Amino acid sequence: MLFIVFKAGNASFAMEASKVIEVVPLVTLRTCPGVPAYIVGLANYRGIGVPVVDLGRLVGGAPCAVYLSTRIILTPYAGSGDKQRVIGLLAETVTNTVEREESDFSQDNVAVPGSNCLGKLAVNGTGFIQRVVVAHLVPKEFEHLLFTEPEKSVS
Amino acid sequence: MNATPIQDCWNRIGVQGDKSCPELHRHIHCRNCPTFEQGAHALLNRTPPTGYIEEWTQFLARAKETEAGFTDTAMVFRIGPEWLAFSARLCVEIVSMRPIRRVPHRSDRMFMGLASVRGELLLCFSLANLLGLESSANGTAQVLPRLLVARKDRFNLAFPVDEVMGLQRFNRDTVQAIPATVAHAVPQFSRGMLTADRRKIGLLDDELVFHALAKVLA
Repeated sequence: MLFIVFKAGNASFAMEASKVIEVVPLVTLRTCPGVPAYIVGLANYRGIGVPVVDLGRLVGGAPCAVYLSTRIILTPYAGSGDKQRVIGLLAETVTNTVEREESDFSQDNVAVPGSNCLGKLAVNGTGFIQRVVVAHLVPKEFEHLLFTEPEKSVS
Repeated sequence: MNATPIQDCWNRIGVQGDKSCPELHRHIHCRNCPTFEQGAHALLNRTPPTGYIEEWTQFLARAKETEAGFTDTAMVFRIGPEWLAFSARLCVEIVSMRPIRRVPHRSDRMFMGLASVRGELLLCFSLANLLGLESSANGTAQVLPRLLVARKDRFNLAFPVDEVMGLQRFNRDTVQAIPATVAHAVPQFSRGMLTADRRKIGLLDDELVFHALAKVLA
């Protein structure tokens, strides 16, 4: 199974490559008030407002540095509703993929308080790679604030 | 601009330099060396040039350009005088032609034998004989014979072909019917006909072809 790997601070994270719609460079985001700081704003993705989650802030560190390798991973987001939406994950060093087995991600990690968007760990050399669970990236109470329908697109 | 300047050892002691790097004999070329790879990654750890973010913001906001309505992709190859195609989804790889070993008492016109591809023995079938075509007998230069490896229901099969043109994208609606007057068995195993680069390409129906091949082995 192919995973896309990326970083936040010095920690490595991974996500199934099959769930990636596309990877794009950092773009100008429109900030949304009243949401947690790790939801850094809305990106205009082909006429649809797509919320972008900063992985660096999400894991409690510094925001992602503005580098060429800092990219937005666009992925489908089911959330609590049945409507298929898109969410962006902003991460650093989005330059690599690795071939790993699902079963490699077996170690349980300490959970981030108030969030279960980080999954299990796999050993990678001397360190670890942690799975990102896209379905839990946005707390339920903020979903209606963030996701706009295509016809009410943000310009 | 850079956080850390890139150590361009490939320009000093590598293939671009005096080739004195002790690692060079192991990696043969700098491009195989992890240091070179790190250098490439380090290039991306820079702040974007001015205008880059704005340009991408505009680019991303635009609707995706639809690519001329292509719906499918076919792998196009030639057997004898005929251009044929399989659905690209079926094709695993194209490898160079290699010996096909006959299997005593089993090999026949359709089932040619076994060929080794990456250490795996694959069953080789003659599409030429299945379709009633004469392989490269029309006098034109046989360009590059290849073995096309296709996968169906978890089985890899190999087909010798006379030439591979490559992938051809097409729109499902432009597939035409093959004239029934064609003498050989291509129409019998085809979904239709494509036109690309003024070539008529018979689009093989993989269900029919693989079903016929399964019967050969039964």
